[in-house]
Amino acid sequence: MSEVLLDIRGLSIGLQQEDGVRDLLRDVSLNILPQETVSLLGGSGGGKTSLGLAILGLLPSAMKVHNGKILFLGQDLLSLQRSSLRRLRGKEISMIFQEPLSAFNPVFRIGDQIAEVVQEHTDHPRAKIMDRVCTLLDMVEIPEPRRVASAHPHQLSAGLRQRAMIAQAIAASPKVIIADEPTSNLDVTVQARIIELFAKLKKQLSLSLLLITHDLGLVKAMSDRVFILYEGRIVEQGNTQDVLSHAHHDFTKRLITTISL
Amino acid sequence: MNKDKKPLNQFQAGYAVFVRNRWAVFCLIVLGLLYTTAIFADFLSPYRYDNEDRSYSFCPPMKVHWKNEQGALSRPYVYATSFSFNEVHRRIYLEDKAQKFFIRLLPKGDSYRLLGVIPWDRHLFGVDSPGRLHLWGADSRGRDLFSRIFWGARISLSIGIIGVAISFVLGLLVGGMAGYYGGRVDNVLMRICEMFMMVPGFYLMLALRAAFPPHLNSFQVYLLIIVIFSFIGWASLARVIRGMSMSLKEREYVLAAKAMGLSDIRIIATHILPHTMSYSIIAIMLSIPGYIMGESALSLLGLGIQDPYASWGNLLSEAMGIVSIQLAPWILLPGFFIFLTVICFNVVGDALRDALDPTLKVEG
Repeated sequence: MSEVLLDIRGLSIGLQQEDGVRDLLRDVSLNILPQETVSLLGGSGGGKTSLGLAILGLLPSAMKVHNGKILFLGQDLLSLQRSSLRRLRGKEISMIFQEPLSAFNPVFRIGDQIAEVVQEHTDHPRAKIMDRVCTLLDMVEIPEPRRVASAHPHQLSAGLRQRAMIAQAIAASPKVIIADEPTSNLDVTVQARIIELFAKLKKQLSLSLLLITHDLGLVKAMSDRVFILYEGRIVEQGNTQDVLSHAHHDFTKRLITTISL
Repeated sequence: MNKDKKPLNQFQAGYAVFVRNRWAVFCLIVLGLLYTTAIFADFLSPYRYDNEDRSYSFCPPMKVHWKNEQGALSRPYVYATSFSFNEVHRRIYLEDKAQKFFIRLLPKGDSYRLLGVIPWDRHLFGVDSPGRLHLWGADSRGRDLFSRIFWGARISLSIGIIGVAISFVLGLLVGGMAGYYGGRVDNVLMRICEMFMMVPGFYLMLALRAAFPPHLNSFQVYLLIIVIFSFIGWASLARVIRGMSMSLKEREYVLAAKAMGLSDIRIIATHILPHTMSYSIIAIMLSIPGYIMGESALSLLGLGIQDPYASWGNLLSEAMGIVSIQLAPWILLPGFFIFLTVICFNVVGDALRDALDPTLKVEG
């Protein structure tokens, strides 16, 4: 077995409220191997997204990590300096958001926003950046990359937007992509194509994927291993096939029955 | 996505809305003319700002004649002027019909450097000496008001633009940073802002002016006024921008930009400040008049631009006494230009807001 890429150990996150601290995540451990897709499956409001943000050090100020470690290639991200953590974001670990319409700045062209990331993390000469952007858009199978690059976010279909978002995420060729509900706003056929795209990119760029979702279908289709999050704890984990066919925990069983209904 | 039409960007769409507002376009043209006259003041005006002839003190606007004595059309001309004294020893100017001065194109006159480089001594129009041309009358020292208004436009109009430019860079920067970083940075920056806002602007202006030596040369005074104004102007803008950037930084695209590892400066510059643009642009347009009026006020009180240099403010300072207004009402003309400029900036600023507000979508 190769070296663990991202290793979260005993992570607890608390949400500061008027009447004290409410635990959002309790003692969550999770790891990702190189070129592996790992799913984090859980209900709404269960702190899945917070986990993703915690990895990048972008938790909202009301939330605090009060225990645990997040190791990326052996380096603890929680004790890293702001500036070195920033350089790591996008370059080593990047994130795909649930709603690309709001994750793109509405007043700038898609191409410029992807170019920004390229500019920040790579030393492409200025003149070549737009070529690189088009290559990226081509990689995510967007037809007519030039036209899409010069479009504003609201002018694209949801599917194209999600692809553009993925292009932005792979712009600096990161090792890990955290995908937060990447397909939940898309219809089923587009979903299927995005799943194919992820599979292709993973091979092409030797990516690891942390899939944060509540969609059991997506988990089945994509992930190698699954972690089930329930009430802030990991209640079940293992090979996707094993977990789904021999569920132990009530929550998992309920999930499976709702799907097969 | 619309296939047959190229998508409009924000400013192209804004332009379409803006040109539909006829008043605003008109005002913009007026502003354009005013600024053009300011740039070419030395060529367009018949005299230099300091060309004086005491025998024309408070000479009223001269009548330009188009017809000769027989009533036939002729080249435009003015009569020579002579004066006599009335019973309270005031000058009464009369046209001396014996002597005509034709208004010529490109006569030789005071020398100047066009655009600051090309030395020249011809003016757009004028009369040959010994005649003098005072289309809008003359001031107490017999200097041509028409010329002095044009020359004054240089100072009055440029102070607004430069002052605004400096204070907006400061305001956007400080406001953007305070809002984005929050916490202690915000606290310190905002307390500094409040220190500036606490003192009423005009008194701060006077105090700052008093802090510098009274006898500076005109260029130093000019720079000083700009610096003083930018010093006063940035704080209120910074506060508004700070509020906007506080709410903008909670947007998901800012989070996404952070997740992509963009630097703070880049996020502030490209993901926060552009969204304050529609506010900033209208605020810029609406605050330029403030600078113009501020300069006028300072110069009116004799603390700004000093004679013989002209600015609209110090031209007006001559109109402070009721007697001179009664005697020579034309010396109020610079006030009209201040008024015109201020109105134009307001109308244009308003139209720009309508045009650039990103929440208003344009069809077509």
